[in-house]
Amino acid sequence: MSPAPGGLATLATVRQFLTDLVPEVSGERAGEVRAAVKLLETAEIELNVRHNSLTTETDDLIGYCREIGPLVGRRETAATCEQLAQRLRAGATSMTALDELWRDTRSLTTSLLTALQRIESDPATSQAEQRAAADLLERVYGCLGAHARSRLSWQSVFPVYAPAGVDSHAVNDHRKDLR
Amino acid sequence: MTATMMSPARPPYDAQLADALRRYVGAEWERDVAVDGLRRLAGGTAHETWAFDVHDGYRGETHPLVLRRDVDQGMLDTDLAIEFELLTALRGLGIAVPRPWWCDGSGPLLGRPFMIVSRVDGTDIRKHLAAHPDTDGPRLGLQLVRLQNRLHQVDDLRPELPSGLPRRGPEGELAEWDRLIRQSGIEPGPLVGAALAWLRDHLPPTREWRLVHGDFKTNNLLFGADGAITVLDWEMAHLGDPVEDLAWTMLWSTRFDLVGGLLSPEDYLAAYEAESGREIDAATLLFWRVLALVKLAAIFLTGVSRDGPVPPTQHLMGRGLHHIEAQLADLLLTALHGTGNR
Repeated sequence: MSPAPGGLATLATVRQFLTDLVPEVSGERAGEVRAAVKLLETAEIELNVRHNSLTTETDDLIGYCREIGPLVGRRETAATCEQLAQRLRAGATSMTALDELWRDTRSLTTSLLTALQRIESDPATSQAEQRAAADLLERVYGCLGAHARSRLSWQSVFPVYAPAGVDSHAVNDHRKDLR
Repeated sequence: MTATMMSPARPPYDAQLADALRRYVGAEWERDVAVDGLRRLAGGTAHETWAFDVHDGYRGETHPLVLRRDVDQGMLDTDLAIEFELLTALRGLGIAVPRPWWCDGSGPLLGRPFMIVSRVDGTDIRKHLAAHPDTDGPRLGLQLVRLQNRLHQVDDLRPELPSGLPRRGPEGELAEWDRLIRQSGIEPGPLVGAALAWLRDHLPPTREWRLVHGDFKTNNLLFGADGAITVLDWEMAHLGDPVEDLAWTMLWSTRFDLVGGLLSPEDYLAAYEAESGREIDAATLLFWRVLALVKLAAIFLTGVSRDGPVPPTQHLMGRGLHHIEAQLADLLLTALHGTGNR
């Protein structure tokens, strides 16, 4: 007797069911069913790697937040980062908990990143501080860009990555498919 | 079996809409007409679009028409009445756009506000390029640049333009897309947040106020049987900085697009400068390229956050945010390294 199917296998079964259904569904609804199939495809890819991705990304961002805090004069950042790191070390007991930790860390990153941008562009900032801010900004942008690129297979709107350009063909084919 | 369960509501809905169109057009023309061929079309961010044919037995004519109608779950809220007035004005200025027939901003006849325009016989340029790989790309590219520049020759002093046409420069555009992102209630992440902050600190001046199409790309340009090109989808049009339009066009960059397909980014900008006589400031262009990505993010986030159930199509588009983030990272790095290279 084979074991009961896991979550991913269940998703795959539902996806296959919907795929088989597409030819039998009328125009506009068929587009929505095709979209549901694509969503399930990308969700399967995402769920396979999401735990590791969120763990790694959270760790990356906590590290950058620790570096940015002193540069932007936010002393409380060290303690906040330590709390986030403790939550990460404790190990998230569920995907929901890890997701919440990842969101909290991204939220802190947004706040610190915008403060760092101001330091870098503020004429009143010393040249040394500006250089330090620019160096850190370069690394944070690069890191966040890498995080985003690692997720490209989690979506099917844009099939290939082209720097600073979007594949309108894909978007519009998608819109067409979706009708 | 399941298809049987899903399908019963659809035919009556289409039939009801066809009947409402028949009654509406018949009342406008004060005679009986017949409507057939009703089908929903792809495209459009804020409205649903339907093609249909009206047969006028009295005159023995058939009119291919398009219905554009507000939707409850659209990705944007735009004003159909202003778009209708704009189409009327543009035809008066000799710009090829679909002929506007009727607009009803209150919408009781068809359930929601709508407008009806002529359906132009042709193929959108993206599809044309896919079907005709031997097309002379650079030549067509220059033709499109000329067309885009022609739109940008329409300035804010033209009395024909609708008085309600939005006037939005960098600050207004930024405020609008920022507002929609906030309204979505979705945390857009550090890169969109950083991009918004960077935009606020780098607002360029608007040197001239021109007609901005807002969505100038090959799938909104229709190649007619006579070779003329008709410009579609004016729902995001406004008065603003023409560089905004260039940046949005540059966002779409496959072999089926104007930039990256017909012309390289460098050739596109050079052709536009030669055609318009304007020199494109690198810092201004970078601002609008970052804003174009923020705008796309706002559209996607709005689509997935509307009240009520989100259709799978819009949910799917929302996941495209990862791609936008990746590109924002590249452009923010460009900004950090200086904007000399556009």
